[in-house]
Amino acid sequence: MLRASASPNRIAWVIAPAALLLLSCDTMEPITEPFVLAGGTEVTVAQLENGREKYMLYCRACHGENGDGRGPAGIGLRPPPRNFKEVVFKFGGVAAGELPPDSELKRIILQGLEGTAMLPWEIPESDLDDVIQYIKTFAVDEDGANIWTEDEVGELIEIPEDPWAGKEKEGIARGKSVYHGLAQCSKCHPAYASNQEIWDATKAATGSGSMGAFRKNMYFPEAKFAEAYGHKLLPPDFTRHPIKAGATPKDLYRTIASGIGGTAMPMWKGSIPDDDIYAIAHFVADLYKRNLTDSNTARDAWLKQPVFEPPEPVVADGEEAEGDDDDDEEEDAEEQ
Amino acid sequence: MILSRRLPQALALFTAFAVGACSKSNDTKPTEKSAKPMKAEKPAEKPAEKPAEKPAEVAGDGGSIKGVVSFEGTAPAPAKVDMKKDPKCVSVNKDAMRSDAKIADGKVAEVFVHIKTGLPDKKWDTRDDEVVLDQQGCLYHPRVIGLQTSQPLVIKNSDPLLHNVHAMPKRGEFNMAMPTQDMKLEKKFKKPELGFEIKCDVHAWMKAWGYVVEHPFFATTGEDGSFEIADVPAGKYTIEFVHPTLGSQEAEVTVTDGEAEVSTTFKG
Repeated sequence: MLRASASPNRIAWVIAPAALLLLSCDTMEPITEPFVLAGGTEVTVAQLENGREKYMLYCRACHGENGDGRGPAGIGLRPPPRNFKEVVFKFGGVAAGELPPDSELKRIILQGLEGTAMLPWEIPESDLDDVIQYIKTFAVDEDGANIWTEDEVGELIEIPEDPWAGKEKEGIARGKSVYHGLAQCSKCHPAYASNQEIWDATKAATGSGSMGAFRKNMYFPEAKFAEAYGHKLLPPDFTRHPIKAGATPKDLYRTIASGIGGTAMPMWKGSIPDDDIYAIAHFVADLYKRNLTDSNTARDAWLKQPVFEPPEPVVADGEEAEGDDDDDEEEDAEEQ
Repeated sequence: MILSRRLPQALALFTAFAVGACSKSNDTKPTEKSAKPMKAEKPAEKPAEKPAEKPAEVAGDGGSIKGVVSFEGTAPAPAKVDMKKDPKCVSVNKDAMRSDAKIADGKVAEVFVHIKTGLPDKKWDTRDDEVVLDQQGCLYHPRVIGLQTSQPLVIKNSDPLLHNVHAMPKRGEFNMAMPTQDMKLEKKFKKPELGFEIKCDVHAWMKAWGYVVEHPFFATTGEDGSFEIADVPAGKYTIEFVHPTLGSQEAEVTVTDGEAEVSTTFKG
């Protein structure tokens, strides 16, 4: 029967059952009631029907039929697909932990998440909104109430004009200082500077030098436990890991300012000046563009630095030299 | 490098198309799963709330509830907090000690005491007295925070180093960077929840617990184990004493006029 000559008739015989199989997917119960969002906006039955159809087409494979992030193609993905039954979103463009507005969900779908299975999806505008509303129907709390019906979405983090536009080099330099000094990003992310530079950066931030930004193994990221996801997450090393929500200074400003939902990354808006957040964004964008060989060479040099002695004694920090010695001993032990 | 960054995407796309087209089509059984009714669209179908228990009628002008929380047995021993990961913490709090519960002379501090049942079902005025959570010496002070919904919580950083304050209630999680000494910020919790964690991701040993209730009738015990809940309307109440590591106990109390007393003892 199945010889290799493919007449149109034979092809039809193959296609027809396949088409039937596809149609048999469509056995969902009709949606009968509209869905009401906090604030009173009503999503109509027609929108939900269309949203569900498009969700099954574009999203189900990974995010699952029930929105639980356990679709057949989602198995083994790292990071795993988002579970829409919960309302933790990493890159919502709002204060980390709050519900993202539609504009931000659209941004994530259209832009994708770099380095993950979430591709940029060119879903037609007319369907995009319906899919987004449909996704919200999955999030039901223990009392059976929908969370998007009960809770207002968060306030969008406003992205100001880039204060370093036209003087990017200055922005990068400022960003390097803030990253290692004022904001102490190297408490979790890797440091990208020498001991002396880090000391100088803290001095620039607080007026006196300090070991505040130093950390054991600080040229590597430190994994942090995230209750929301049930396991440890590694903060990215910007010279070798993907930056998921966009690596332009503007995108990075958004991510840093709002924090990353459910993770250790806090919201920075309000904690340090906007110009400094933007400066860090420029510095990180620059790290991301660096050549890996150069980055490795630089890190190797930093790792070979002698034990750092604070260049000037700090009255309140008399015990630090001793603390450092302890750390070095421990590091040696781990390496053996 | 670019290729390796994109590889998982390419693989996933392939898998998505290979598997995603119709995952259920091979099932021999009828797909009951896919015909699940959509609960989410019917917020009105919330399970009917339990009819509010009618508070027992008690005559009187009301008053305060006072008491003491004691401890019998072997109190958890204080242990040194290992802060080596952050040399700056070691320098600001070299000999930091901490135990699972603050117990002195048989009295337990930091127990959250609140009226669990018996209050009339109404919307109470919001307490506007500030509750302060301080980050000092790379530890939280206090470790138990009692609040009414929408009551201001002032979070302070007394340390010259970066903390982040990451509160993890089921709804309304927040995570704020506090990089500078003497920085302050104010937060409010909209939903009641007992015993959610507040942590610092920079310093994994730092933990505090939030207890948020909808009414103003709560207190946390002081160093001497005592507490006072003021201006309680007359009534018969169940009081809950709850602590993050010691657990929870309940007691009944009736308030008529003046002071009513209720105390409890945790055993270890």
